[in-house]
Formats: sequence, C-alpha cells, structure tokens
Amino acid sequence: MGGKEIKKGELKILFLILLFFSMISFIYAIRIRVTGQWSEIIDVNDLAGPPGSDLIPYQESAINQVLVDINNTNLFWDVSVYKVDSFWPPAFRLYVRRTGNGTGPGNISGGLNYLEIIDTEQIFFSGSRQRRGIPLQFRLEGVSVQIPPQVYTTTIIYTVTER
Amino acid sequence: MFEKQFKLDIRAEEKLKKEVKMLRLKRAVLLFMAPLITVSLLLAQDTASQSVTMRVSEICVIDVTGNPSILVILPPVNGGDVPANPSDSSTYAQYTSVVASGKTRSITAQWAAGDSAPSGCELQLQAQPAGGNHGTSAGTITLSPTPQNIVTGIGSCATGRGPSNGARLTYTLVITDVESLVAGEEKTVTVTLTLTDDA
Repeated sequence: MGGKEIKKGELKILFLILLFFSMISFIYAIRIRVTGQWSEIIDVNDLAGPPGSDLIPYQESAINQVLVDINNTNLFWDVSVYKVDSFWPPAFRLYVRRTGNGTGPGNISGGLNYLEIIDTEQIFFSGSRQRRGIPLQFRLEGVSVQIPPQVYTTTIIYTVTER
Repeated sequence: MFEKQFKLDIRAEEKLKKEVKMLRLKRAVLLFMAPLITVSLLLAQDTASQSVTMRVSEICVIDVTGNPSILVILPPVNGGDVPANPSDSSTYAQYTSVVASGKTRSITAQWAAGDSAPSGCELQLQAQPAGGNHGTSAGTITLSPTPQNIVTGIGSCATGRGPSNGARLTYTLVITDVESLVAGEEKTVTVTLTLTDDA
C-alpha cells in the first residue's frame, strides 16, 4: 500500500512537471508568421507589345508582397520553403527572394537572390533571435500564350527551425 | 453494527476503484503527452503557409501591318487582251490568341455596307497563316458586307510582330466584266478583320 502511495505521488509530480514544460514550450516555442499573399491576373495588359506579341514571360510581385515575422526565440534559426501544387502548370516556375532585413534584435542573412521554390524543402534564409517584417518578393517565370486560361494555385510552406 | 461496517467497506472499495481509475487515466495522459513534449522541445520549429494564385485570362487581339498598296488596273501588253488582275501581298494580320483547351477561333473579313469594288470588278482576299496554332487558310473569299472566314482553327498563339509575321493577306482586284470597266473610277473600301470565337 505504501508503494502505491509513492507511485501515486511520483506520477502526480511527473504529470505536473510535464504539464509545466509543455506550457513553457508552447509559450516560448519559435513562431513564424507570414502576412500577405500574392495573386495576379495575367491578361491582355501583360502582352509584351501590340497584337501578335506573346505575353511578358515573367511576372514580379511588389518588393514587400509578403512580410515574415520570426518570434519567440533567442537562438539561431533557418527558414526553409517548399510548395505544394493544387493546380499549377509545369511551365510555371516560382521564385522568392528577401528584399530587406526587417527589424528586431537578431541578425539575418541569405535569401537575397531569387530561389526557385520547388516541391522539396530548401533553406531560404537564416538568422538569430527575433526579426519582424522581413519583406519578400516573388517572381513567376514561364508565362506564355501556351498556358491555357485557368486559375492556377500553389501553396508555399515556410518552416522556421531552431538550431 | 455489522451492517454499518459492511457499508463502510463497500464505500472504501468504491473509492479505491475510483483512485485506480484516475491513476490509469493520468498514466495514459502522460504516455500520450511525453513524446509530444519531447518532440516539441527537441525540434523547435513552426510552419506557416500561404497560397499563390495566378489567373490566366483569355486573350483575343488582332492587328494589321498597314494598308495594301493601291490596286491599279493597267493596260494589257497586247491589244485585245483582258487587263491583268492587280494584287497586293504586302500586309499581314498579326494576332495573339489565348483560348481554353479544345477551343479555337477564326478570322473573318468583311467590308462596310456601303462599300463596293469598281464597276466590272470584285475584290478578293486570301489569308495565308503560318499553320499550327496560327490556324489554316479558309481559301479565297470575295469581300462583301457579310463576314466570311479567312483563317480557321486558331488556337493559343502569338504570330509575332516582325514585318513578315502573321497571316499574309493577298488582295486581288478581279476583273469580272471588262466591258463594265470605267476609266478613272476609284474606290476605297474599309476591310474589317475580326478574330472571333468558334461556336
């Protein structure tokens, strides 16, 4: 009976410790937040010239089309990207680059040249501690009259990982 | 007295059962939470996602490279011959077309309701596209106020903007009745080319 009491007590303490750690890890876990999105209409206004011309072969978003915040960390981290196509023509190639550093106490590096977003995860840029309002710009290549008129969608997944 | 003791024993047993149940429940919760917490502590990461949407719209635009030169009926080399039919092939129809899969377009030609060829003549037009998605020639038509196909089967394409890109347009003034020709008669007509969806 005494053993049972000890077990019961130990279990209670372990339960509380794990509960405490889970709350701490939830409150202080690194967070990534992405604000904004990019959608574009490709139509007659995107022709390279008068009738007979093809479409301009690329589209580019605003330099701060999307803002990324990295919060809840005092460590070094990497941000990686990949995409999951919903309905996306093989000719379309999507690129992303970082056009600024954002603000915050940490550092940031990499990602200043366009990186093609593919179906597998790649490290985009790195940094340390908190950074807010990191601006991203997108570029779509492979635009031509050969792309049938449709609505094309892909989802970009951003992952921040502490190291 | 015995009955009271018996009731107390039953209550104690029920209480013990409840405690055992609670212990089992806590153990199950711990077993479930422990790996999750361990993973979250070891792999401190977070993800966010966003959609990128591109809407490609239909495009249907056409232009011509300019006006053909004046078609002049010249005297024949040998007296007694019918004059040759003057023609011009210096202009091109240039177009950009984006259509849904399986759909096609055509180019029609017509002149205005009040237009006509000089007496004893008719104005014919033939278009010669590059083929493929640029479409195929519908042959030679005699211009009239009614739209007639000159190119059919146009898919998604851009003919290009070079001086000889596009469907070559050949205008021919055909003498149909030499006896009706009137010297000095001059007519200017406006030919409208339309890139249109096929039904």
